Amino acid sequence: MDLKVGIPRGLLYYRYFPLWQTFLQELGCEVVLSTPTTKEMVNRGASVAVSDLCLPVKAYFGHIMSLRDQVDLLFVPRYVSVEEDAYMCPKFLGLPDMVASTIEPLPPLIDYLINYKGWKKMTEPQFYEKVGTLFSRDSGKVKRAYQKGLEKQKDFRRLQQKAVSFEEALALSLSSPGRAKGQGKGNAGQPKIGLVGRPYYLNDPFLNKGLSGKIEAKGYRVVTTESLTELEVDRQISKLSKRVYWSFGKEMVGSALHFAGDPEVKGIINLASFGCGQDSFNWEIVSHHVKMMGKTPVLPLIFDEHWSDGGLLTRLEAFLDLITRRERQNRKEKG
Amino acid sequence: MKLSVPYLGMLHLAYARVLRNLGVDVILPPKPTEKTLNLGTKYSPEFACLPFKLTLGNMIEALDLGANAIFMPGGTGPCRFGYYDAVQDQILKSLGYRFTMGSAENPDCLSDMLHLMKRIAGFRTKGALFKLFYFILLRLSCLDYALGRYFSAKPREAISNEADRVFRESIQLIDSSLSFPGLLRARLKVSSLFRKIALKPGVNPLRIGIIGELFMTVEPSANTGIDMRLARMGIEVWKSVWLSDWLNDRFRFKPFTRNQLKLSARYAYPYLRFPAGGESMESVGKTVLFAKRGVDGIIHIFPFTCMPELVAQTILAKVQRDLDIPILTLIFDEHTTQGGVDTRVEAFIDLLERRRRSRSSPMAAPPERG
Repeated sequence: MDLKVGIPRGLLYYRYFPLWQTFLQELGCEVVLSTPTTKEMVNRGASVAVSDLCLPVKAYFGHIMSLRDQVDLLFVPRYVSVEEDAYMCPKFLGLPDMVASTIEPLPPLIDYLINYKGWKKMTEPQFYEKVGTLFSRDSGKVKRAYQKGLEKQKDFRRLQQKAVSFEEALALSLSSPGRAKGQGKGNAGQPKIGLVGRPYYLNDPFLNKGLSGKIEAKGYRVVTTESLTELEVDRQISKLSKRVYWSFGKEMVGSALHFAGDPEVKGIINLASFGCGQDSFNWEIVSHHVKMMGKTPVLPLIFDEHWSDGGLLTRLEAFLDLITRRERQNRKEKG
Repeated sequence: MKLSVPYLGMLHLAYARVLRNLGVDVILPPKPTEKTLNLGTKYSPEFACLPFKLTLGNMIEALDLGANAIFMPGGTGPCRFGYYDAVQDQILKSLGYRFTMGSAENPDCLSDMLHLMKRIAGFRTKGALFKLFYFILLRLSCLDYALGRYFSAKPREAISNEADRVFRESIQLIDSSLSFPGLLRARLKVSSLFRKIALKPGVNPLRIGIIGELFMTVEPSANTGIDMRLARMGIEVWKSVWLSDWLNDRFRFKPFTRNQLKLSARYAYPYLRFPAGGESMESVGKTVLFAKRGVDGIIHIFPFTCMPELVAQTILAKVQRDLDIPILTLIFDEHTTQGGVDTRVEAFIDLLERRRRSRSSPMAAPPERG
C-alpha cells in the first residue's frame, strides 16, 4: 500500500509544491493535500496558537489539524535558508518544533532541514536524498525523482515570472509532460498595480481576501513579487546600503523598488501580517526608497484573522481613486 | 571622534572607562527614560521591536550631545537585530544627523569587529586591539559575576540592603581596575566581599528564572528593572542570558571555554532542534535546565513582535505541560507600564508561593508514581 504523505496547503506550499509533489509521487507516495484555507481552519489554528503569531502560521496549524487524521506522514520541512546570503523567517526555522509542541496527536513529521548557512549545513539535493531514503533504497531512483521535481519547479517559476497566475502555473507545470507554456492575463496596454508580498499571501485567496481579483475587476493588471526573476531582485537589492538577509524580504524589497522604477506600474500594494517582524523593517526601507525615487503611491495592507472584506474594499477603492486622479492630473499637465 | 554605543545592561560600565583611558571620546547619553523611548518610538516603524525603539532614542540623545560616531553591532540574521544598524542609519540620516555608523557586518566574524575597533581606537597592531577586546569582555564577565553573586545573596541577607551596598562597591572596584592584574584582584575582592555578607540561616527563597530576549532581560530601562525588583522582594533570580556569555557564544573566537548556547541546545533538544534565531535556544534550553535544577517558576520576557521568542513561546507551552513548571509571559512594548508588570508579577509570585506550600505539606503531596 502506498504511504500517504500529507502536505499542508500553507506557507512554503505556495513556493515549492511542484517540486515536493513530483518528488514524492515519483517515489510512489500518495500526496494528500489539505483543502484550500477556510475560515474554520484559521479559527482552529488560531485557537491552539500563541496569540501573537502571524496569520499564515495560524492558518498552517489549521491545515495540519485538518490533515493529520488522513495521512501516515506529514511533510513539514525545516527551511532554514535556501541561499547563502539569506535566511528564511525565524518561524520557518522552528516550524516543525512549533507544530510538534502545539498540535497533538500527530503522525510522524518529515522535518529534515535545508540550510546553506553556517551550522548544520544541508543543501537541497542532500535534503531530498535524505527524504528519499524514507521511501526507497534505490538512490538512483531518488536522484531521478529529484531531477524531475526540479524541472517541474523550474517550469512553475518560469511561468510565474511570465505573470501567469499561481493556480494556472501550478496546473500547467504539473500536467504538461515537457516544458509548459502559458501566458499572463490582461493586455499590454492596461495600467499595472504591483502586489508586493510573500508567496503565501499573494496566492492564498482566503488570506488576501481575493485581492488580485478585486483589482483586476477595476481594470488594472496585477503584477506580483513572484513575477520577478532572481536577477531582477538582486539588481535592486544591491542598491541598498546593506543587503536584506531574508529570502522573501529580499524579494519583497527588490520587487517594490523594481515596481517603483517601472512607469507602467501605477501603484504598489504591500501585503503583510499584523506584527510581522521582518516587514516592519522591509517596509521602512521600501517606503524610504520609493519616496526618493518618485511618485508611485504605496498602500500597506496589514492582515490578521479579524480583517473584514468591507474594510479592504474601502481602502482599495480609495487607493485606486487616488491613482486615477493622479493620472488625470498628469495628463492635464502634459497637454 | 566622539563615540557612543547604545545602552545595553552593564555594557557601558565595561567599555566606557577603558576607551576613555585610551583617549577615545566616549559620549554616554543620560540613562534611557520614558523620554528616550518616546523619541525612539516617534521615528521607528510601528511594528519594530522595543529594543530598536530604545536604541534609536538612545542614539538621538547621544547625537544631540555631540556624538559623531555610533557603534551598533550588525549581523546577518535571522533575527531582526542584525538589520538594526542599516534601518537606524537610514532613519537618523533622514532626520538630518551627520555621523558615521560603525557596525560589524557579521558578529560571528571577529576580524570585522577588530578592524572596526581598530579604526575607532586608533591602534596600529591587531594584537593590541585583540587584548583590548578581551579585556572589555573580561570586565563584563566580572560585572556579570558580581550581579550573579548579588542575586544569590540578596534574598538571604541578614542586614537589610547589605547586598546592595556590596554590589555597588563591587561595581566601583571593577570599573576602576584598568589592567589585567588589577581586574583579577578586583574580582577576588568582590568574591570575598560577598562571602562576608551575613546571611539569615534557614532561608529558602522562591526561585524564579528570567528567560527571553537578550536586550529585554539585560537592559533595566526596557524591562522596568524587573530582575532587581524581584531580588528586592526576596526572590532568588536565575537568568538565562548573561551579556558576557552571550558575546562569548556569538564570536568565533571564544575567550571563555563555557558555552551557554551549546549547553542550552543540549537541554532544548527534545523540544527545539535548531536555533530559530535570537535567544530562542537559550529560552527553551534554560527553561528545561532551570526546571531540572528546581526553579519555582519562569518569567519569559520579550518585545512585542519578536519573531524568535514567539517560536520559543509556542514551544514553551509544551515544556510547561511536560515539566509542570509555571511560566509567566511578559510581552513588552512602548505602552508597558511598571504598574501593569507589577500586578502580574505579584499575582505570579502568589501562585508560586501557594504552589510551594501545597507541595511541602504532606496532605497535598503529589502521589508517588509507580
